Amino acid sequence: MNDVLLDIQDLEVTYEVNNEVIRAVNRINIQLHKKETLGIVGEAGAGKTTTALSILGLLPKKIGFVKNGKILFKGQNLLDLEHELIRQIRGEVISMIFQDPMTSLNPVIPIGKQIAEVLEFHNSVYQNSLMSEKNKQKKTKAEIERLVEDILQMVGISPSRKHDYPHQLSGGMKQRVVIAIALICNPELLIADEPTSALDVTIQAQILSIMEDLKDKLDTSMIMITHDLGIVAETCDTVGIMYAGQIVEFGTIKDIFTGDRHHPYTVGLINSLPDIDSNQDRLKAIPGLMLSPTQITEGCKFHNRCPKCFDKCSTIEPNEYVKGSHRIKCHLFSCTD
Amino acid sequence: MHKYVIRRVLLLIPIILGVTFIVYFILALTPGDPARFILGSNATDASVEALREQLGLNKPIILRYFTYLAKALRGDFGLSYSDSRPVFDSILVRWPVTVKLALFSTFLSMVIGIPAGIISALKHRSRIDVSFTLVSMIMLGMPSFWLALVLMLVFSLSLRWFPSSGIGGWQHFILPVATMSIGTSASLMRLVRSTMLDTIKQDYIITARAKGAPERVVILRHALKNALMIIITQIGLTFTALLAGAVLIEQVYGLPGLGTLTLIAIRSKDIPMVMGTTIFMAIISTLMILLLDIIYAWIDPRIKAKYVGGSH
Amino acid sequence: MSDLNSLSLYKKESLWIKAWKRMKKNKPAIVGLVIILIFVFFALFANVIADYNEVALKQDYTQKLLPPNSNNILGTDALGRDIFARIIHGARLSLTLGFVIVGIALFFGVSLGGISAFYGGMIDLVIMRLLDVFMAIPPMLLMLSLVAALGPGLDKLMIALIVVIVPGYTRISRASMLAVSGNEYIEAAKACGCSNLKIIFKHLFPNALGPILVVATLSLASTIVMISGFSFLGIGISAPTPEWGAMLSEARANMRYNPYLMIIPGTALLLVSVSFNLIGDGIRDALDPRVKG
Repeated sequence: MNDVLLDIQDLEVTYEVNNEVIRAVNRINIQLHKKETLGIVGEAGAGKTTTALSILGLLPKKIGFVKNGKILFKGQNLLDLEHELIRQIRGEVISMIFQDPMTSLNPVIPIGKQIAEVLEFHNSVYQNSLMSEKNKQKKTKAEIERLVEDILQMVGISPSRKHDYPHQLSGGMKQRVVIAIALICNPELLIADEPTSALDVTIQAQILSIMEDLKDKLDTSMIMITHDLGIVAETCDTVGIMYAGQIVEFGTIKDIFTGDRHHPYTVGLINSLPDIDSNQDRLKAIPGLMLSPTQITEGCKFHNRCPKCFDKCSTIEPNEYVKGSHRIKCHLFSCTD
Repeated sequence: MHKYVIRRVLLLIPIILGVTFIVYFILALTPGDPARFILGSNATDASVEALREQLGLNKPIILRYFTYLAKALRGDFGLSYSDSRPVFDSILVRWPVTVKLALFSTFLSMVIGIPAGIISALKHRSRIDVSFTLVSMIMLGMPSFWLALVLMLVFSLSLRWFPSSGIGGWQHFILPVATMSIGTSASLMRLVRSTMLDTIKQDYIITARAKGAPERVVILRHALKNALMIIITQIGLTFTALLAGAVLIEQVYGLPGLGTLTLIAIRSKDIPMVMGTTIFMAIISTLMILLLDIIYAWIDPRIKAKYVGGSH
Repeated sequence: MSDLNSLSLYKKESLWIKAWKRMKKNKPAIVGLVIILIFVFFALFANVIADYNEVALKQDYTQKLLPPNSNNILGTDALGRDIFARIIHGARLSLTLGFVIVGIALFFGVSLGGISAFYGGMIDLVIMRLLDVFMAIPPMLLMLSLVAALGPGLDKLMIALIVVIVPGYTRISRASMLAVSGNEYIEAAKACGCSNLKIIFKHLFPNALGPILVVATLSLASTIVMISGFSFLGIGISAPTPEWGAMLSEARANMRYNPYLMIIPGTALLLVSVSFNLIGDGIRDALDPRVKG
């Protein structure tokens, strides 16, 4: 397909600390089409953030390593890019929103300056093939100021507050600033890493709608990392269910939420959503804990918690069952293809 | 801003009172009767009693303390036992040497400690980091009075580059300042290193990288500013430690500062002199810490905003 | 109940064993430990190796300023005394003083900190304010005024040093005990009718042990250097006692032509002080691996 923006192939990432190897991401495949939103869902430690950081080349130095695979962005492997080229891409072509707005802004720099900074970092004409579609000119100081005020307005903060420091803003306002930082350069891809989980429930909806609006206005594609299937149902076009560093199920939103074939983990996730219609007393949790990523296990990573586990699950790693856009990594279905 | 300064100054008063009271209290409890000390062992009991009354020694200690403090604030620290001249006169002559020593050494410690700490943190776990850390451990454990002897042996007695003792031109300050800065630059380096390592791990540093900030900007604008903020307060403590630490070093290099003065006074049991010099140094230390607190508040927007009558 | 006990015991033990395993990998700390053990060995057997009165103190002008030889492996000083004997007796003195001073200071510091943390309220407030004032005085100034007031002598120097280091110990033990005292298991212990003393000794103290151990090890270094410093200035332990600082002070006169008289005691002091610092750092890293990053 021609309109594939991001194609992650066989990505494998490990963390190595004190001779201990943590397999954070194990050979995942993800595709994102232009102007679409891809949801990556999974519990803490599943490797969602690691995947996002490897796209931007922001894995912690000397600790996180991409062991294998390709991250193709418009056909170009981001992992092959030189330092300077990937730096030019960050914030301008691909930008990221982090989980906790309380800590992701610098406490000693006014917010307006933190937004303007992004324009300054990218205020030169690059010889970067990935940016050829944009024709840009050097901006003056006044232009930058105006753009900052515009974007503040767009995220719903009065431009007069650009001289404020982060501690003078509420959590929701800080996250708006973070969104402004991410979007001021009109990126082609926005990665949002649990953008609302650190916020009050009442503010979550506001922030999500701001992001949705801006994304549509700016024609940005998005990766939405979350553990909340509700958010996925509202915002995403395709979904990857991630478990223990693997994509266990991948498909369009329709594939995931309808249809009769699902990975048992997805079934567990959907069942654990509270259901207003039925009179259930307690939430249905998935029993057990995710295997520690330091353990090397045979077979399916989910078998110890899986209600449908049978003999070969604990010994042989399942192949992917593929049907159209829908992929499931489970022995229950692999025999039928 | 001046609201903050006033608040800090007001907070300083109980600290100065507490510090000076403790020093006064400790020294006033010295065994032996000052009156008999002044008059000598041949004096009659009656004349000793008369002098005690005259000196106010029969009054409760709290009263004596406040009388002393009131006089001290006017520059009257009493008379020395050994030469019966005003203590403050001796302090006036000697204090510039000690304060200069402490200031120069603070400066040198910063010049060495801060860049070394930054380099060590940025090259975390590299060979440079490991060797800097090891050298700093040795510097930290170095007994300063012994180092003073070694430097003197090498640079004055053998190489004859610098004078070995006494006061004169700037050459006389080089060895003492070098000696005094060894320990403090090591501890400053370790502090800068750990603060930088801590700062580099903060989320806003990843944010800055994700924005496309060049590495130089990430370090200089985003990490260093936050790290230096914490270091500023440490500089006050460095100065304070150096001021009091001058006692050992002045003695070795024969510098006529407050340290040498105190030491001679301790040896000759000249209590008013010891009291005068220690209280004087304690006050200078507290003032220095106050100054750095104010600088800190002036730089840190979080404190500044609280007192500048912000727009909200 | 016995199951619970053995479980908590197991957990506590594994924490310290884990810390020791981490520490074993820390080469500088192990080097420090080995150096200290060597000094401790010589200190313990100082009298067996060289008699105090006969070798370390006895002056013999016919033997003065000898270079190292088969009889005197480190040579002799200006009064003809064997330097090696004086160094190991100095080690005995310094290490004993260091451990005694730090031990007494620990007793007072941890008790005060425990009282402050456990009772809170007015008691806590009074203790903490008092500490604030003490800690506002530069330690060296406090030392000087105490030494001036108390007069010269070993016992007085020890009192002065204890007074100077107790406030820091108190503050740290209070902080680390406060960190757990709000925890539910303390509340649970109170609710179960556990006596105050039992709570303090069984639950609060063990928690303060780590940080206190680090600070105590580090202050062993500074205490030993401080003792020598004051002896060097002539207001601590005086000659002819084989104290390293006092030896340095004696060596000054002959420093130019017999520098080893000054180099040897200083090196001993440096080794001991750096080693304790290395061990202290090692313990800190071992107990809290996050700090190392």
